[in-house]
Amino acid sequence: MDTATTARKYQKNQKKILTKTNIMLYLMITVPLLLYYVFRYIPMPGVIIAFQQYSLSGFKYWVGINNFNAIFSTYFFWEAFRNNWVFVGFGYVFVTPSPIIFALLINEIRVRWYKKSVQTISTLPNFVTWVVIGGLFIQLLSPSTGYVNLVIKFFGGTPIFFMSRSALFPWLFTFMRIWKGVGYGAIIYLAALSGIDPQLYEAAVIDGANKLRQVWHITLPGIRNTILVLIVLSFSHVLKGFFEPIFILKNPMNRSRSEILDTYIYTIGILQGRFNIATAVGLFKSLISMFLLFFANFLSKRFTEDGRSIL
Amino acid sequence: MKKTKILCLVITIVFALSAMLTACGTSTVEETPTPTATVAPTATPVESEEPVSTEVAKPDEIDITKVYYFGDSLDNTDQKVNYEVWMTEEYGIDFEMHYPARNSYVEVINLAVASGDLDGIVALFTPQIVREWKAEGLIYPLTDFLADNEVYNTTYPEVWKETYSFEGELWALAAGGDGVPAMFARSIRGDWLDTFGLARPETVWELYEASKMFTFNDPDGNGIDDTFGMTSRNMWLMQDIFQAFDARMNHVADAVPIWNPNTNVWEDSMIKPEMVECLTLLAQMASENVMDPESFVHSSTVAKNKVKSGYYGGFFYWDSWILSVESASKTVFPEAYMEGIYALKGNITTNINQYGIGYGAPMVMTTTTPEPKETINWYMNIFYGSAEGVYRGRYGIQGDFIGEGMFTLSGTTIYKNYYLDSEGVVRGFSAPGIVGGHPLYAQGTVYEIVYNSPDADWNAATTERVNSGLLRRKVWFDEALAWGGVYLLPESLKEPTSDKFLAISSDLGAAAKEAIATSFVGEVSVEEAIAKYREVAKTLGAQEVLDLANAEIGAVTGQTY
Repeated sequence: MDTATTARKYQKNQKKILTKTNIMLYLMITVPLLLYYVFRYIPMPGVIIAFQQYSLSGFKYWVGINNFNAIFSTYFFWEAFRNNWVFVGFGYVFVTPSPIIFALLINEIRVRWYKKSVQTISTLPNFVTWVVIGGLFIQLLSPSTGYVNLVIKFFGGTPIFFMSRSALFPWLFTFMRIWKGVGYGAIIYLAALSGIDPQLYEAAVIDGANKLRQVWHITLPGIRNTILVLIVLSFSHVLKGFFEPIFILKNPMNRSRSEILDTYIYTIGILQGRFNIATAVGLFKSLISMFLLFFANFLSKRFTEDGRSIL
Repeated sequence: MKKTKILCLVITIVFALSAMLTACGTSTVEETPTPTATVAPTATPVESEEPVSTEVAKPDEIDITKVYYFGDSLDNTDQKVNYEVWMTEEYGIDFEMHYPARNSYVEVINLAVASGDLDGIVALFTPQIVREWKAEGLIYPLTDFLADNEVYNTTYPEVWKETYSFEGELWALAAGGDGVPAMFARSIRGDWLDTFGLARPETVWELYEASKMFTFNDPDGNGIDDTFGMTSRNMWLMQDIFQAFDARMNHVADAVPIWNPNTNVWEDSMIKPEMVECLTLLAQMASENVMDPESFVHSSTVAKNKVKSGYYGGFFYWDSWILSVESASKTVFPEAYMEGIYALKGNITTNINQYGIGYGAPMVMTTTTPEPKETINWYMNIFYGSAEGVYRGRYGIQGDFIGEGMFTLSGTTIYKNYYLDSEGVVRGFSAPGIVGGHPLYAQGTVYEIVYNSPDADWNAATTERVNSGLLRRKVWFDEALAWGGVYLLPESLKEPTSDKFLAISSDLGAAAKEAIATSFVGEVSVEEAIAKYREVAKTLGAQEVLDLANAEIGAVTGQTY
């Protein structure tokens, strides 16, 4: 086949949606698209339940925005709403920077086997479910049999019932999130770090820059875009992902600081069968998430080098 | 621009399709067929091998949803399946058993009933849930379906019918009970009391003193500071302490408005001065480790294990647990034995702990059941129409010969069968527990239970242990009954019946539980905890619940939030 024929065929194929080459790709993407449609789009009109009186037996009558009035006048809702944002705030202040710092530290390790070992060990907790991690920490922090309190008692201290101290809960939860995710979260930053030209460091050393200066002037600017993109992308799902750990760690003593919107929805929707109220809370949460998604898109356009948007 | 148009078109189509698919779902409002009178299927109590129904046709299948069917959902899978198959073959009806796990039972049945997928007979937990389901139109009234059922009319006890009858209609069958009091009692290590020369505590303050001794004076004498006074699980396993102060919990240990038998007034214990006294003592006990500070974190199973393994001196639980905890403790500490306390005196000395006569869980029939009349009639005939049926529902597969099946019925003797495992240890079968106890006619006939394992010594020892244990329990109970420590709580006064109560009881209970838990561990002071509770209760409109409940019995409350 001569070059001209190949070129013609290529141009012809370009106009076709389905070709021999890409049909397999389309087939492969069909299944995820179908799943996405079934589980994300088909249930979507169900949000109308937020405007209905709807209970275990189904639709009763339309109530307008009464369900929203009901939730906004509920003490427990605002408590859960506040706690959600506390965890989000703690996340951005402590959880987000931790893999960056961890990656920077690992990057400085020169002993290869040690570096690999630390990376592997620190990544492992990410693959342990929250159920196990929750149980582990509840046991570790037990005032009677937990190792932490045994150490405290050994040094003459009074045992602390950590899981009952509601003021401690956001800190404990943040610590668990860091412990679980720091190793795995560092992988992407380590990949970004490997892309920085070593000659920059060599030049800096010649110029007399110490380690901290090198990190400040070379390393961090080198991974700046990666950090920004990850932070911006995280905005769209800031309110997600807390249900499982909170469900496991929550108890009546720390409830005032541990209840979040997801667990509140579970309690009133699934346990109490008040689906209309639960849907109203869920819709409210989705609206906030949607706003944050547009905000993330705006930030992405503004801060990425080529002004890319994420939508 | 073109791209945007295409995108908009695609999104519109997707939304339209979604809306159409959602709309195509099952109708949310379904016609509830009116039950028609039925001619009774004939069923001969006691003698009948299998109930014979000539008038009501057999349903194709009977679906039963219940918790603890041959243990929890993942236990004894072979027994679960074998029973279903055996019942199907025995009666020619497809028995479909559904057994969600205990800790997610409510969630599962709520979702199932909401989606219209919950068919057949369903075990619920409380009369309150029956009322809720009734109000939602999720269950059939059973009166008309069973109007001409001979078993229902002649055998099924009247008192069982009354248990779940509201506004003149039967809404649930009582799974059945032996007519014995169903109640909690405090278990306390008797051998530890003996060690310190202490008598069985009679007051809440004596209990505190004994528990302090257990915590600080090494009752097991092992030289290690590893024992504690008592444990609990939420308010469940320490209700007697609240009641002794006259800061009562309801029959499921929720701190929601409750009827006080001494004053005949519905009251909210949380805002009584006695609650402050009670919580102050509990907080002190928790801070001293006399009461397990982890009581609001661990499960009932963990609480039981803490007592069984000899670390904790006792708790307040189903009275049957006095003996089962004792048996378990004896395997580790042969000298261990438990004392039972059915009520502790405190601020009050009469009508302290409530009890009910156990007639079993409410078994309702959902409105999505395909053949409702046939299903409920055959359910009635199979499980209550003969002695075989009762024990098949209670103990499982029936054997024709002694030692065969899970039980064997011979005349009026029930042989509960056991077997030896590969290590020669006697093992028993779990039970389906569809029927909770004999109908009254069976009690009248007096069925004797014989422990039947290949090990004759084990049989004799078990019989002796069970009989003497039951006798001990009876003595303790009769004693408390005699001095007025326990009282029979009428079904109608278990909880307020107003819609307002149904609407706020969960939130109100959660607020109370939080107040108790946080003050218990010293997270906040008792006064702060109660003040926060008052605020929440006021917001929820709890005053209306109190006022309505009292108006119903012609009483007036002096309590305000």
